[in-house]
Amino acid sequence: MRRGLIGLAAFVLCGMLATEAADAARLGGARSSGVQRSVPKTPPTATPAKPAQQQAAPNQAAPAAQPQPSGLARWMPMLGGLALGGLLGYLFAGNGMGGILLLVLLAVGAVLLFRMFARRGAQSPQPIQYAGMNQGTTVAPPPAEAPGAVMPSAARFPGGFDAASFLRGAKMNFVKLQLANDQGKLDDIREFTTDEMFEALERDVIGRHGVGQQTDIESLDAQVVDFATEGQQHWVSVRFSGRVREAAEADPVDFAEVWNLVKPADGSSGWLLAGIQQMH
Amino acid sequence: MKDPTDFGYEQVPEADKARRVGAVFDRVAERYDLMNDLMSLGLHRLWKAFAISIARPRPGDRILDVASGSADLASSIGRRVMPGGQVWLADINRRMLERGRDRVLDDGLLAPAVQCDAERLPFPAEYFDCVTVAFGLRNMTHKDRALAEMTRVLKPGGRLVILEFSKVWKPLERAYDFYSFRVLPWLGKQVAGDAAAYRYLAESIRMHPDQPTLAGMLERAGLSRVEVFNLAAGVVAVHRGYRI
Repeated sequence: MRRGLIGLAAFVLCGMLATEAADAARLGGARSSGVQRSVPKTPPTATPAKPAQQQAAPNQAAPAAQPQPSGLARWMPMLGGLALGGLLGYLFAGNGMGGILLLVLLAVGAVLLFRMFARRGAQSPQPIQYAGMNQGTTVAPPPAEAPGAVMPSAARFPGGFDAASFLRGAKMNFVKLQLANDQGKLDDIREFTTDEMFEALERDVIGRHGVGQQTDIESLDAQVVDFATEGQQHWVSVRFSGRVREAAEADPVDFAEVWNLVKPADGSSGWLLAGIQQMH
Repeated sequence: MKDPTDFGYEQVPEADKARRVGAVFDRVAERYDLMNDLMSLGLHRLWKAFAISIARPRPGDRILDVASGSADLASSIGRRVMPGGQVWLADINRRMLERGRDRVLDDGLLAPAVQCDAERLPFPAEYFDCVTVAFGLRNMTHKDRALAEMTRVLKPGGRLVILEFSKVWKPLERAYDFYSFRVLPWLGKQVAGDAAAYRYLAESIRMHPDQPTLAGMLERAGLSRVEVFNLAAGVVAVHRGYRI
């Protein structure tokens, strides 16, 4: 009897959640709308999405030299934390000196591991060799041109295009537009969109009949996947990806969508959102 | 020396401390998060989570995170004050502040970032519901002035929450000293390439006021109902006080 009741309650709850989730959605209603352009469906790099502060560097014309940790080195904090964190209770529970010795050993081990991974990471580009070539003449390709990467190289961006700060601005506007959409602030949406795109987004807002919603972005990454100048207009396609919770009780979901941004070549206005393309 | 102050165990002219602390953070900024994990064996994450639960951010709150660094605290707080709330990042070091600003944005949050000195906060009085400072107070030249400033910007009923290294439980002192003065500088040299920066860390922890002294300073700054929560046998402590 009780199990039946729990089952019924769970069923009703799931039903409620599903209804909530169906009503609320991020800007553009998680659909493709507006101008659609030809962009690769897959992420531009083979590696998983990284935060802007790390991944934007290859696009910059002259980024400040910053040591990038290798793939495994990036995970070291997490591994170190997880593997070693649980032992501290033991350390403080045991006698002080024995505990500290173990702690020293752990620290030594962590550093040795870290250095090993760091060294391996630094060597990884080297194995790319071509038959018949002397080892001394082989040059590892720069990261942006490595096999598998279809990222447009910095040469394709017009002079003065600072990809890192452009992407930072793009992310801010992404979040701002979600807020404006949640709160039904049409003037804020109009400021960043072309007339055609605004009409589509306005229909979504009006369709909600003033009911507010909360789009909670849990993580956000942005990459420039295309840049083109056509006639009197510059086009940039920015791929946004991450996790988003579209209703308060819903589970967060992965998303990936390309925003096509347009700007008149004469600079008479800033970048405007002209279309959204879903990548999933 | 005119008005000397502590920089670790060294005495330096007061006017120099901010610059020297700034130089330490400039040097270690790239490896800062990795070092935090290694040094505390990942525990700093738990300590920060505890400090946030003591700060008790609520939807609609306006919260200032002083010395926000790489924004570990601000990121979690920012989510809890939504909808309608706001978290501000403040740090005196530009490189650390930029890291924090980018980190918060990667977490899908909008947070204003202000480069400023905690001893002269560019905010009106009674502006924030809560001010937090995690592992930052130790580096400030005039802690009493900074505490008074953070109290000034709090609304009546607002709370100041300080997470900082503190005085470890007496029986563990020798082991902790060995770890701080032998292991930490060595670890700092291997990972961040800078032993001196981490020697400064160990020394500045010893120079920082202990739990009851800091609680007294909070009271003198005008805060009431001051409470202290010890973590990891006093390696760190959370202080909370209310502006009544």
